Amino acid sequence: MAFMSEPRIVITGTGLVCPEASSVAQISAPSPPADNGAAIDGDWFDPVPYLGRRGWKYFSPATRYLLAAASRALAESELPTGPEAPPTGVAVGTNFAVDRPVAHFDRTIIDDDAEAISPAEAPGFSVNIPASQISLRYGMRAFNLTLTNPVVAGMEAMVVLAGAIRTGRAVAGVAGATEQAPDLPTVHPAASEGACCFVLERAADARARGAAPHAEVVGGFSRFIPPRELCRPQPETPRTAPAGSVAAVVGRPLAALVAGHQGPLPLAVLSGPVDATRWRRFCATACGHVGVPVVDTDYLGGDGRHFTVSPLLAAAGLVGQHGCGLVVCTSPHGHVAALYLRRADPPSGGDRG
Amino acid sequence: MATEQVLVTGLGVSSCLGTDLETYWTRLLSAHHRPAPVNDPAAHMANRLLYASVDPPPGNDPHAGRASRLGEHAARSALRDAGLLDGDDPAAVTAEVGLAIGTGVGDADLFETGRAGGPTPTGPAAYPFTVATSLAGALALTGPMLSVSTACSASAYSVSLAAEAIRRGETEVMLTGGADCYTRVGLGCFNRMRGLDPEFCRPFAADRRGTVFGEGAAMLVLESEAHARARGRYRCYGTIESAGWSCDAYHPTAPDPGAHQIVRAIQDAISGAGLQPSQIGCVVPHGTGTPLNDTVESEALAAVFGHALDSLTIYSLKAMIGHTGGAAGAFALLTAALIASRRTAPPNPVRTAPDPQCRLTIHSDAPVRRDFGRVLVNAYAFGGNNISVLVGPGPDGFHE
Repeated sequence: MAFMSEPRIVITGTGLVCPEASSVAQISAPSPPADNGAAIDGDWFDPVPYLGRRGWKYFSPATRYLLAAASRALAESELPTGPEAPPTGVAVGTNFAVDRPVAHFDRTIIDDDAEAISPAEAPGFSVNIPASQISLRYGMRAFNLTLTNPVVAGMEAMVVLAGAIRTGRAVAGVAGATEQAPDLPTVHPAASEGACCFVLERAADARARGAAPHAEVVGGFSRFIPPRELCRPQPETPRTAPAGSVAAVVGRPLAALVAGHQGPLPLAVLSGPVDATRWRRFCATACGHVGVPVVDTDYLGGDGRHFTVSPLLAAAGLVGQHGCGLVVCTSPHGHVAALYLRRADPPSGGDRG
Repeated sequence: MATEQVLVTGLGVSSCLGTDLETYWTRLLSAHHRPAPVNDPAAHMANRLLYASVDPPPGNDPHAGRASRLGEHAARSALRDAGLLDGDDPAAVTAEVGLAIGTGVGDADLFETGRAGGPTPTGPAAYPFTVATSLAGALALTGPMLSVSTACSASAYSVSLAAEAIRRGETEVMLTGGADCYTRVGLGCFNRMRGLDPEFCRPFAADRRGTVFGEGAAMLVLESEAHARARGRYRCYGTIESAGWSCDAYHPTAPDPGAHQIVRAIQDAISGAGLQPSQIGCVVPHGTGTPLNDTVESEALAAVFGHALDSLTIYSLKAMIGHTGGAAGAFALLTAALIASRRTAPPNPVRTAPDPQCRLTIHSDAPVRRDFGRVLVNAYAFGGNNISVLVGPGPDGFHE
């Protein structure tokens, strides 16, 4: 497993909205127990402060959340956007952004006729519409990607955007995730919603325009392990682990990812229904094999209730609180993803971008 | 970009033309196929035309959604074709294989069945985009993985991302492509948006009135040249040379009439491979049959190719299999690989008079047989998402 680290990519803006928090400072507490989860009906969110009074009436809730988080992140970053700016891209993860709109359209078709669907809302059946609205609003034309692997897609969006900037497809962009609570109540006992976005750009560019880097996005990965294996990660030595084992599939790239980290590494593990203690131990062992001690952390959404947004809330918490960290996330299906963020050089640091 | 060649060493399909590659190719050469109304009593809408896929053989999971089942069959076929899967035992996949799958609507049928009175998905099954998950589980694939849902450009992006993962050295082998199935909601919304043709899909025809949906899965095995050589595999259909990405940032559903970003994507794909437009012999366009889309795409091709446009061979695939949504780009790339490898572009179906505003030469009487050099594939989507991917010939010593 190889990780490109040059040119260096940094976070220069963070934005989030969810029923439980609207700032990085508010996500440092773990989620309340499942039976205390917020009632989710969208009433918690007022688009006006983010999007103004007009222009969002026909946007789905997940689109509004995403635009709000993106606007916060871009405002904090002060990244130049628009037709005259250098090329910028968008990568967004989601699982349920169009779940409720699609269910509504379908019930309309079944009970009445497709003609009863609002033509202004009809394009909203497509899951890439929320991300597309970021490009439309800010003129981000390098590319616009929507990723949908369960729970881990937001982390994948961060890694994909960083990779695309490294290969020159854009000089900067917005990576994030957005969710509306699912139509089916059985998906998660405390299902929530919201959005979280980061502005990523080349470290050298951030430095040149005087933007303060919050953290460096070193890289990450997304893998799959059959769920029965996922539930029993064995803290074996990654180098000698048998092919196909969790230690080989996840432990090896994890160790390679964080190798060289200086000092204790704050770790956020989102393990869904899987035993979190086992996964924390597994990650600690894998990092320990390359001499990196970890420190456990927990943030809002640690139980995965915000789906693809949850691991990005953890990333935002790690960046805000520590300036670095490792997020490891599993889905009940067998997905495992990791995202490693390290302290960025301050604006006056050496020119390593 | 690194210089590692990314080979296409395996192909597999589940389609309206058949569920094996040679049947698919033979039917393309026959240049005749029509859609039929979908059999869905709950689909209350005027236009129910669909290029429905032939049902594939049962896969590992009888409860899997239709896109996953179509995808699994195509994936197994592609891995077998690449010599990486012997029989049906997933444990027999002989390399660490990554996965990058494009899908626009995922296993929508599972949810639509529930809303029409059937069983409702629960727990992990209630996540809507699990085609890549199903394939990884069925085939025990543990390499790098992505599920791309950038609407109708999704699987062209998934192939491009898979090729980049190999070039970066993240993995040696990727199973990539796309799968999408009939969706009542998608068809209903296109009815409401007046985006459908009432007879058949006729891209670039003067009387085209919209698209007609299809369904299916197209899968490609991508492999580093070094890995193929190391396992003594000298069989490939071609290479994924480069890709240009762009976004119109113009309108949620309509293309920018100026085609600026479509032109940029095509130019980036060509220049990314160090080539000139004159070195492209064939184009598999996005060509949906939607009036504005086809006009804009043909103008973009004219802008890039100039006088060379007249000598370009155009193979308009959706006239045969309809618009397969998130799988469309992968179907186009799979077909482009066959065109490049077999030096044959099937005849376009004879339908109605060509649109004089679309300045493309659409051959229809017989296949065009020649060395095309490179084949360009375009894929576009809601949100103004554009991608062009270049399929090139295999390295010396490799052949189909």
